[in-house]
Amino acid sequence: MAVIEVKNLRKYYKVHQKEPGLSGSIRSLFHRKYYDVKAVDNVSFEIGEGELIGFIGPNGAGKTTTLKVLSGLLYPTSGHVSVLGFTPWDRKPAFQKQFSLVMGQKNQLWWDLPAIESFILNKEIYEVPDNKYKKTLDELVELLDVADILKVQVRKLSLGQRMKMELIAALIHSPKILFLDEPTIGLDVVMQKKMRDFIKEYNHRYRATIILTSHYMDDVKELCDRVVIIDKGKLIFDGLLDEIIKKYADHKLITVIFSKNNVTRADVEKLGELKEFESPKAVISVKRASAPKVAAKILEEFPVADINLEEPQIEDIIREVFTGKDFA
Amino acid sequence: MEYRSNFITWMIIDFTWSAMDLLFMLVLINFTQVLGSWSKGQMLVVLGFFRIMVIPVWGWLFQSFSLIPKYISEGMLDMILTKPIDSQFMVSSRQFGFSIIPSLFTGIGFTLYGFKILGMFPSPIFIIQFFWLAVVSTALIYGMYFATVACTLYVERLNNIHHVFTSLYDASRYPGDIFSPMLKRILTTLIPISLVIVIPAQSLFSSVKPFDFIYLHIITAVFLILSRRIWTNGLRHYSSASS
Repeated sequence: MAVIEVKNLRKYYKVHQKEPGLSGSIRSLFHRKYYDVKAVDNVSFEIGEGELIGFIGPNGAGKTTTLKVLSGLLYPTSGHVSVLGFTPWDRKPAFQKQFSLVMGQKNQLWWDLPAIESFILNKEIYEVPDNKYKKTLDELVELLDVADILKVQVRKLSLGQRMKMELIAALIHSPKILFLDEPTIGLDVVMQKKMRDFIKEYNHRYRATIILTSHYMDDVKELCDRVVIIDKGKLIFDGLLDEIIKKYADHKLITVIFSKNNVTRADVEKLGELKEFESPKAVISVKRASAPKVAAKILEEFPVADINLEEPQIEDIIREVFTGKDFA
Repeated sequence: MEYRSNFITWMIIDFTWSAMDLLFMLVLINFTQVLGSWSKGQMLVVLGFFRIMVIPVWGWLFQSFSLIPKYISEGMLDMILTKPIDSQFMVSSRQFGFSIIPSLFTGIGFTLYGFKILGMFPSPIFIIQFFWLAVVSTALIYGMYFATVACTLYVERLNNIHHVFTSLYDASRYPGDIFSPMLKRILTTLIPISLVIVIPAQSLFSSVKPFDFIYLHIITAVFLILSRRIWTNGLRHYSSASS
């Protein structure tokens, strides 16, 4: 059963365009130019209970705007949105008690106070009973391993520690839906991994529905089976991560290690698009349909020590989707 | 240490403000025993109440309201709007500054000195009336101040708008009678800042006119409703800040 339904969602903005320089500033005081930005343009999707969805797209694609509409911060230009049966922008407390929004670049913790004070404030705001608060807090503190920094002022914490505390503040009322907007941004690789492990564990343990936006493909690859790709406000893909490869990757990569050093770049270039050549290793991109034939030809005509036929990296495919081709 | 230093610095600033207020008032009064229809003692009671009202105005409203334009322009309001709590209440009660407490003592000191000059002390009925009117005045100040800062929702960047109100608020320490008739009309209707200090302070040494009493309540209700409307309608215009 879908807990999030989005049909034909549109969110357009009017944005002021200012000419550069002082004269531009003065002119814009009297004659302002505006242009329309289609932040979200006719997007539809459904998300079931307990799903963990990756929302990916380049900067300005409309990911965060969609999350803000889903969490009731923005009124859409048109379209239907239902989250847990509520219209988000009605901002009903019964709805607000069931979701949480975590934004990697904004914080809800009180800067000058220890994080525990913000947790207590959220406990009161969300009307969490004492025993449930204690149980949830203990679990989260254990999962994130932050017992020793609960009473340290937020401004004295590292970015990674602060992000952990932000997550606790967002989860203290055990939301059914969690919107995570770039939760690993700015974190080092070790902390990114810890955050991913936590999100995965939280999703499994509490069956929470999670929408995750991230620029780090590792986040998406590790956490999400299903991804929604959005570009220039339009939804261009909604399906399993593996299906991206089938849909967009029209080529495969053949990696060959030659047993002799007499194979030249010109020899290999005849086989397909040469991606890398550093004798005795070569990486060739070939059409998906002709890949077996090319592999057989290599084995037949060249001295081969090792050969590997593989799918291209998901990052590369998505980069191509965003930069090169019009898939909409 | 940084918090204690900050606290002490603000206490010193608060004492300085009080001293400057008193000095200015004494200089003014020394040239004439009556200002408008107000005597020196009455002016000191008004000044005393003005200093006491520094606590809700600067210690509460300014502390919380000065942050609202920042929340809006930087998108921090997002985190408040997702909470199951009235957003106006939340942004109105975010912060309190306790370093302003000395104003309470200087305010009481000025008021008592004013009564000493007047050679009287307010009756219990006058004191009860005063407390009620002080609450109503605080609500009126809240309504006017909040209506001003809530305008930020419509234009997103009015970072210094709270200074507009605080600058106007300074005029409240003087009775409307000392201004020109036109200015007095403005300061009692469009921007009724002239009522918030004078009427409660006046209630300590004389009966408040029924018209003034009712008018203060009506205009307070008007500004509270207006500020609420500006805020709730403004939230529809809120476009958040880019992430």
